[in-house]
Amino acid sequence: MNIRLFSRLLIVAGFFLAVGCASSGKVEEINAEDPHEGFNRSMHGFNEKVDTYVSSPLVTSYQWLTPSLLRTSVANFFTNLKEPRTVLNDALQGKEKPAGEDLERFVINTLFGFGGFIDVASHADIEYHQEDFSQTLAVWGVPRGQYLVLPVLGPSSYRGVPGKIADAASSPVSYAIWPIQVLDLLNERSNAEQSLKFIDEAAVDPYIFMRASYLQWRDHQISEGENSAEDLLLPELDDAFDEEELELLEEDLDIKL
Amino acid sequence: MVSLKKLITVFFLLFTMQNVCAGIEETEQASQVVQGFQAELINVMQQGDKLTFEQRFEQLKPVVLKSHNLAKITRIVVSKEWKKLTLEQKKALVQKFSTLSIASYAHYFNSFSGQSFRVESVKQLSPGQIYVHTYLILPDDKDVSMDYLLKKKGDDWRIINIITNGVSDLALKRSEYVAVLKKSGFDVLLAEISAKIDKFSK
Repeated sequence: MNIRLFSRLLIVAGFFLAVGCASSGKVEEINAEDPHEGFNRSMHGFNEKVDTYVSSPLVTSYQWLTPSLLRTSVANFFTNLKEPRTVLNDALQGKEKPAGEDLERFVINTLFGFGGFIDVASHADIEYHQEDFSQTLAVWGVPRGQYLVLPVLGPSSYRGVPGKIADAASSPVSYAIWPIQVLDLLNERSNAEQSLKFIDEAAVDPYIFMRASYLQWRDHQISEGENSAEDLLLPELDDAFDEEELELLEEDLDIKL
Repeated sequence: MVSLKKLITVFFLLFTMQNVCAGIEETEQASQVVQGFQAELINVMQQGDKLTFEQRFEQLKPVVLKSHNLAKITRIVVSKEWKKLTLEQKKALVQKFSTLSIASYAHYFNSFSGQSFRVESVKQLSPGQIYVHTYLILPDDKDVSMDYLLKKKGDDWRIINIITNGVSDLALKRSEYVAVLKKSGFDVLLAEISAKIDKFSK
């Protein structure tokens, strides 16, 4: 994403956050897990509207106009373009083997995959890794800080903001002409289609669903697949259950659609 | 004559071995529960084109009920709010949540394109809890990590949580359900769950 555009979005977010904090005269209960919930929910609502009225129609047109094979090639191209950033983050995190594999992926796909349009490396079973500057900051011990929803960009955190700035600054797409940047945004939104559909289908409260799943997923990425004990072993698992009551409830089950 | 020291050593070894064997037997039982459930999912997926949503739901219902501890999962996802519910509300919630769980399986596991499951490891986390680490193998995509936490119920092991690519279903639902209960109340939560079931069935 264009750095200037990104900086403007951050300024807008900062302005809303400051206004939100200053103007809330009445005392509201602050959720310790998510102290910016009021602001975040507003941004979540704003992003949903942007998605409904701008992004989604554009992506529908993009998907209608382009064959699936072309969309896959475009996705491959942008993934490949961001591989050097992945290699850099691998190196900054001291991950030698993934750095080697990602560099190999970039060279192979650029040379033999027509500039990255064909993902030859995956066919050669060279593993793809997802690394970014937020993950690097986490590996360096920078705490996550509070959860934040950024305008247009979506879920993030205090640590995620400098991470995203560094990601934008190190992405070649940021320095490309605007049609390439628009195509990158369309491609990213198109790739997120299934996840958004899943949230729409499964979430009882989409904001909380997004927050809880985003934070857990990022922890999972940072810890290289180790599931957080906090999410896995909920304190409720050790509650004193009324087993008789639960047995009774299960016996009475009459499940019909 | 066998010395007392040797006798104690033999007794200790037998005792340790018995415990180890019991542990292995328990992890094996828990793993079998997960594998049996996954085999049925694959079976339903393979029949995907021939079955309607309702038929997939009916086919999966006994398997999910047998392998999951749905009453306990419901109890956990509403956390401390459980104590505030009447018995009738608890019944209604367990029923609705169980329907939602089966409906979501019937909705998402609806077609087959060569997917399979692989058990990677099984470990006992504590005397009553076993963790089964598996992968959903997708032919043209990266494998999906799908882990199961099982708790003992009587002599059987039942699934209590599913962790997909690091996202714990129990933690996710607990965050959502507790928030809705606190903010909007029981009837709204039940209505929201019903709306999700409707969405899955379409």
